[in-house]
Amino acid sequence: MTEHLPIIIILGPLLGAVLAAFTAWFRPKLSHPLVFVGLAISFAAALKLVFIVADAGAQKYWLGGWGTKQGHGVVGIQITVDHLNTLLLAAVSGIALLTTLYTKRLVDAELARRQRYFYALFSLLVTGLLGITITGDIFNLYVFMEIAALSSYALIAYGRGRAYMAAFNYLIMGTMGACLYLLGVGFVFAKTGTLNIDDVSAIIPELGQSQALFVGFVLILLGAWAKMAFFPFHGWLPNSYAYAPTASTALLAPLATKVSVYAMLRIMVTVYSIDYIIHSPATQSLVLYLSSIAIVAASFFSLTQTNLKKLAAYFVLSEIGYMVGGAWLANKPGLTGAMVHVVADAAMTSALFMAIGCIVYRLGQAQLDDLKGVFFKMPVTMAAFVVTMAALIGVPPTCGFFSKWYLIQGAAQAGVWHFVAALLLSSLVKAIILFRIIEIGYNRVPHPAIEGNPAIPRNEAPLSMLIPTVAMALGLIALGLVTSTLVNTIISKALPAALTP
Amino acid sequence: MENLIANFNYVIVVILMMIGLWSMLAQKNLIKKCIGMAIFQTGIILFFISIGAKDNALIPILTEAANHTYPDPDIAKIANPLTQILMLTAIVVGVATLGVGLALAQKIYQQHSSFDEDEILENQRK
Amino acid sequence: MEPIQSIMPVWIILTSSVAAVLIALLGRWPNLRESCIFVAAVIKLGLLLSLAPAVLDGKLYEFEVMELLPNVGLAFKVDALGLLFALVSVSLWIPTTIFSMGFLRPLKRHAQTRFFFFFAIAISSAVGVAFSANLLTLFIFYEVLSLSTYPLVTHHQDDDAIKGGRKYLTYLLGTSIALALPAMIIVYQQTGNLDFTNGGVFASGTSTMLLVVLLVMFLFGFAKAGLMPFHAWLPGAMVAPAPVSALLHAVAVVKVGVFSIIRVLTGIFGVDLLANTPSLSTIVCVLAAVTLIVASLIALTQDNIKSRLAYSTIGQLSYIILGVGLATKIGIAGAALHIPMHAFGKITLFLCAGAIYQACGAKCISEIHGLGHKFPLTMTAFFIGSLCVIGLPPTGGFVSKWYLLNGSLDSDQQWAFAVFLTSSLLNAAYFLPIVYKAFFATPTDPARLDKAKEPPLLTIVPLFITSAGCVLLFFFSDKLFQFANRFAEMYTAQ
Repeated sequence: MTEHLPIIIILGPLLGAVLAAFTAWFRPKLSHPLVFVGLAISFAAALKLVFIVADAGAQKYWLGGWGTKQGHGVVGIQITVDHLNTLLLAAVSGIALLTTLYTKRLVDAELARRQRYFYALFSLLVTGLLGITITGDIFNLYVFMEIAALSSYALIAYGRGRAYMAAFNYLIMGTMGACLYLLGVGFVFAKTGTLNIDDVSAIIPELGQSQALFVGFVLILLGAWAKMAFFPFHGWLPNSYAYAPTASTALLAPLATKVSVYAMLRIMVTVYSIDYIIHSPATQSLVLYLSSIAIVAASFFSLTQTNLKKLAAYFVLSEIGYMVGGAWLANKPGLTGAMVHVVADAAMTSALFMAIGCIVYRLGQAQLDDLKGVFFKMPVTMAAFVVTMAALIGVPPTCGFFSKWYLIQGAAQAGVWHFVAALLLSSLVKAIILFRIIEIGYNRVPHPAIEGNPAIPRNEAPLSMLIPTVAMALGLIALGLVTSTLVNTIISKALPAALTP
Repeated sequence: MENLIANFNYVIVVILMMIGLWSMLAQKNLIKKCIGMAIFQTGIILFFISIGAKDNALIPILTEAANHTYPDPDIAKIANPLTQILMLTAIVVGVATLGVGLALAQKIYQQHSSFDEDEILENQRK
Repeated sequence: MEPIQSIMPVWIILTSSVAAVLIALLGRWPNLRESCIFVAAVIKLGLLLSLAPAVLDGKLYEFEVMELLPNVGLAFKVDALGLLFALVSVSLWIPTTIFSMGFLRPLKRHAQTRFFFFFAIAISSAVGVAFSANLLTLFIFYEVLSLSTYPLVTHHQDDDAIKGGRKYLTYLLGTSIALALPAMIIVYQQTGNLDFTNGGVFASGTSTMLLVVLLVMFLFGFAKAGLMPFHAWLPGAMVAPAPVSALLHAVAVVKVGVFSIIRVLTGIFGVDLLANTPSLSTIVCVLAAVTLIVASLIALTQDNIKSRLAYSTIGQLSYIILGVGLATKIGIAGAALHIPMHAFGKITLFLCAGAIYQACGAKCISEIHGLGHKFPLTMTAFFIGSLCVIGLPPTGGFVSKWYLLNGSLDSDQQWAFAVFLTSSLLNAAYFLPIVYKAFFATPTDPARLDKAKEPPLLTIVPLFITSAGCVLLFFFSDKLFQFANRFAEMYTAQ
């Protein structure tokens, strides 16, 4: 049974999606529990695999047994769970599971009678994301990328109004990214004759310096960057996340971009070798500058926002800069930081959008000026919000602190001081925003406990939303405390052996 | 130059992709953007089929009727089947994307009675 | 000497955190809530004292909770300096709580539960800083302290409070994230070690340029120590209620800043490195000396009692930094000794400032002219506190300044002697006139004269406790000197 765990991770949400779409015809109420069960199975399998991988190393699985026999190799499709992706698999399925629970009331409120196919799409998106993460085949990765992308266009378009245009822009940019990626895959296939990641990585070093391979590398990376909204391909993201229904954003924002970052890491670390970066210092320094610009620009734009959702979307953009930059430092702490941050940031962004969702559910919108007194109205939500922001700022002992620690250490080791400065600046900007929100939400109202001031009735979000939010926020601290263990047992083994310490 | 003529299919691929990319990014009309997307994808499909093709090769079906070298096929005489299968998938993906794109464009048209990006943005600002 | 493995430091830190939880739960019953604080403070003090004999023998208590980064854990170590600082903070928590009850309750201040809750958290993190075994643990508690004192600073929730709070966080978070954190990471990247070790962590041959940059980043990064030009948060934080200014901005928060700098200088750089690299020692001394003099001069010009005290604090903190910067055994001992001495003196002054406000509603020095005889007890306490800060016998301040002066003569930086003396004269110049005018000047505002009266007992008692402390410290200074000397020996003995 355990040898089939890898495929169960994808089958859970996939079957959930199919069944949910089917039952939506005659019994729409069934789709939510169906999706929930599918994701729960997937999460259980992913969690089990984390321990298996930590103990026994990478697990490979050939679909339908093709490829296990002599001569099948070229045809079979492989999925792989190794040190690089096992944590992310658990994070994606876990966050998706909590988000399913969390979004029920939000969907009822925001979409009401239009929600029929929402959970089918939701589950399909998770299938795509898990597929990108687990696949051991670069063409398969493209297919899953498009599964995820198509369902996310639809999930964003649920927001109606301005969301249509945002989704359309996302579709154009996303398709362009996917096409560039596919083109790059074509180059790799033409040179190596295989699509299997293990085989490609074994063949590439034999080919030596090849221009076609380098062009393929660049095209694949451009594709991944367009998908993850890395500067300068970031234009689609803020509007998409801001105008999508909060329930969609709660799933999209934490996972979609992070999984694309993972795809980039996978290509950089295992498909191509890290030498590709080390041996092209000009490209490397260009990407590092782009990352710094992404972080700094996104931080400044976040300062000017008046809408909480859009502000958070700019946070996502700056975090993308962290991860791309960290990966391109191409040294041990930098890559460790990027890998830790993929998981940490998925958790942080999820907690952030959950807290924002709670606020939107009660206040109806998320303009900063509407937040007056929100700390008295929703103390528990805001406590979770403050913890999450502390993690984003990088206050110890939350997980954000440790990933940032590795990133800065890597940048210091590589002597890339502008990246250090950008990371610190972004922390400071987030701190400013947190305390601006505290000022508005807490200090700008007459304190209700003083006699004579109007009382502010408590109006917390419903428990089904509050519990996942609080759990996620506490998870940020827990994740911070186990960072060292995770790095020692799992992430350090995902690093290429050739790296200097 | 000779190289270009010998590989004219790749030249066409590049031209198709440039047309596609340009109309996706530079065109203001949403439908034209969708068309550009389709052209871009077609370029990629052609590219994949080109790398799988061989001179005077036969179809990759290993039966006696279709292929006289059965049961001991001469691989150099058979086109690579993998690229064709991949492109079947890519075509499906492309159609789905185009469908979603057009559906979105239609929704936008219902709202703004226009396909022009500038006009729509101006409408939204109001 | 073999360190003692013991979980005791963790329990000591947690005592006040548990108290904080109880405070939050018992919010509806103020008497129960506050008795909870006293119980916690007494337990904490008892536990601290139980560690004292072994620590004075030169033993260390160590405990590592978990590893956070390779080779760096959440770890605690109790040495003489840490214990001394923890003892001071916790013992002053008791009078401050009594004072808070006397100060907040009659004025019917809002959110008292929140006030006591964050107060307890702040004490926990101050003790956490005191017991940190490495720079990362110290940094964690340092940040928790910044965040947990923010609600205390903005307690009044009016425009001034918001402005003060904004400044408070900008300075403290800004410098710690932008300067101390990268400095720490560079140290880690260079040496792979953040433990406070005797003799420092740097390998010999580390470039002086790098050391200088790191030193400056640390000195300014721990802005709680108030080195100029990153001192402005302290006067800004004076919008907080009097007990907060008293315990946090005379003792816990500011001393945490100085303490962090002492730890960095002795445990990361190492006293030898400081003594043997003139440029490092000079940077510390010059920065501290400039702050010392300039802060005293600014204090002279302040009319608001609390801002005069704030500038005085900034100056006195630099005494401590200057003492360590001298890199002599006696100077370091003097600096360590100045932590409790100044703490007692300054908390007395701040509590008096609160008491004066309660007695006649005055916030400025010019408003209390001629009112002293209406509340003689308060003004007497103020006088004793001033003596302690100026450094005149029979108060504890005299002893620590004595050692600091000795230390400056021992070192290469003998000009520091003149700086210490000048500053003490300035201290006298800005404190003594307050007392003099309160008793002997003609009242400026007759209306205030009628209203003024001695504040309630709950406010007066803590003043007595702390001012008696100032005097007692003079007579029992040898006890404290043992701690200071033990610490100085540990880090200078070769």
